[in-house]
Amino acid sequence: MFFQRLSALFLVLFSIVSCGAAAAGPDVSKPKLSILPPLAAVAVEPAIAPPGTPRKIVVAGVWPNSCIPTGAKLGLPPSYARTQAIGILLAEQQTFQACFSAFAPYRFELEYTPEAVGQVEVLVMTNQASPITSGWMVTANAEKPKAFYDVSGTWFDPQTAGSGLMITHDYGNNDDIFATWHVYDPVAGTTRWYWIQQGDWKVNGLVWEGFMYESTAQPASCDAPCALPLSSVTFRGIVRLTFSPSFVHGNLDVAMDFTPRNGTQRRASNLQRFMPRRLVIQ
Amino acid sequence: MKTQALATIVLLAIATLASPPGRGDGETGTKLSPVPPVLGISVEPLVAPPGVKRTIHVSGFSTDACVPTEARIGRGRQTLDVAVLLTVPPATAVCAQAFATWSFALEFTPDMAGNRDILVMTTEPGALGRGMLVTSYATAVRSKFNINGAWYDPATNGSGLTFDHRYAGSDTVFATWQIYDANGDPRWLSLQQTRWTGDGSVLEGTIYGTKSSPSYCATCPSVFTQVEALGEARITFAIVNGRLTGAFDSVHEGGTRRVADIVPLLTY
Repeated sequence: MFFQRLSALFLVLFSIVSCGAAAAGPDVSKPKLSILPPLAAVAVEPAIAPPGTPRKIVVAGVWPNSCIPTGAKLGLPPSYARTQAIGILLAEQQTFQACFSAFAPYRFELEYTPEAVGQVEVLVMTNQASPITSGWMVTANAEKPKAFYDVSGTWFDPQTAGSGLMITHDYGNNDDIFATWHVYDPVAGTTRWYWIQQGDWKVNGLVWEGFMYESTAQPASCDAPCALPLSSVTFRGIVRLTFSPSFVHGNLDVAMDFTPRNGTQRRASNLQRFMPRRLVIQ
Repeated sequence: MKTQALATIVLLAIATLASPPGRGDGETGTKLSPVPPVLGISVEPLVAPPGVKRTIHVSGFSTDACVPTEARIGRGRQTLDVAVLLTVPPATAVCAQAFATWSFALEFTPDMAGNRDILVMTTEPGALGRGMLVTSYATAVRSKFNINGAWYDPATNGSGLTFDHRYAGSDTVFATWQIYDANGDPRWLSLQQTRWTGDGSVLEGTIYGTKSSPSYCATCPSVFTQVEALGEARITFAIVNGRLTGAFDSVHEGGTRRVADIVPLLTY
């Protein structure tokens, strides 16, 4: 499935490159810019699995010349490492033969069986010390679901610009979420915020559910607005965040559903990142 | 009510977790010698403009004698990242048990401004860690630290800032400031049009307040209808006792006023 999509992506990119070149007619003097096909992408099959499940790490891409890497080797960090990342070293060809300038597809599949739940980074470089790409391997089970993506950042709905969700995500570590929901007072129109935490990820790593609270402080004589300690906390309801990769813009979307205390669930907002980050869609 | 109490406990627990207890002089527990850093990655000069030759130091210690014998530096083909590849004996080699230190100094001259990851890996292969190479002009300073995430001042637990920082990318920062008005009701402001100044550890920007038209529900999002610049903010980041901290000041004509001393919330 991944390879089909990756192939489709490359075909699209190739056609963009080809169309760009073909469109450069003799009467057009401006230089044309083409999008470079991706040098490499990392994907894992299955995308999420429990510890002890053999996984396939796929490193695939389009090399900028005909001398594609001849091999790939996977390794774990030595005792003195300060990261738990998996390293993959691609063997670049050492040859006196000329390498033709032509985009050449390549693909390597490496087996690895993780022993513990968690998100582990996969770093890829060549044996000529050229960093290539990185990705993540997510290992989880029903007892300890883990997030599939790092969802940190600012999220908003263009239809309601001025409101939004700020998410802090401890991805790769505890996987905790702390979020603040920024809206407006229904009567006065002044800003109003809620905080969201005490949640957990669901099995597929794409759904997070937690509690929404509102806090207030003691009235203060400082020049408002004031950074104050909270004095009371009120439970407002349950928030469900459903993340999904968009095949339209290549970034994540999130559907935010809210179930107020003693109420029924409703769609609160359909959000996208304020500052987009491109995904590798698996 | 039970939920409220639980939430307060959780907040306090977070504050406690975020502030590890200090070891007083009177404590009598077992003393541990500090372990030398297993991997150090540093750059000299720390921040410099493009075209300036930099020295990347990679050093560490190993618990066996099979230490790296050679280091090679390279740059990415489609990324700005820099890689350091350390040649190590093959995994099948017999290594004597011994503490061994190693160190390499590699020269690299960045040709454009930006924050680049320095990825360190061995030939076996094994990913060792990463550092950061900050290259910036005096007129377009890049950040020294990644400040992404929620921050708060333990003295005003319940208020806080959340930064969305595109570190190692555009370096853009968008932030929201969660606070209260004089009545104690929750209010938020945003920090925008930010810029890094000084040596890349000072973030300055404009604080904006927004308003919306009256709407139909308290938790529903709505479009803002008014925006007002309320003043300037300056946040000075530093490593204090091994931890990243921020001094948040509001800036006015007469000088500055300390608003909060903030630390990251999700730090364990």
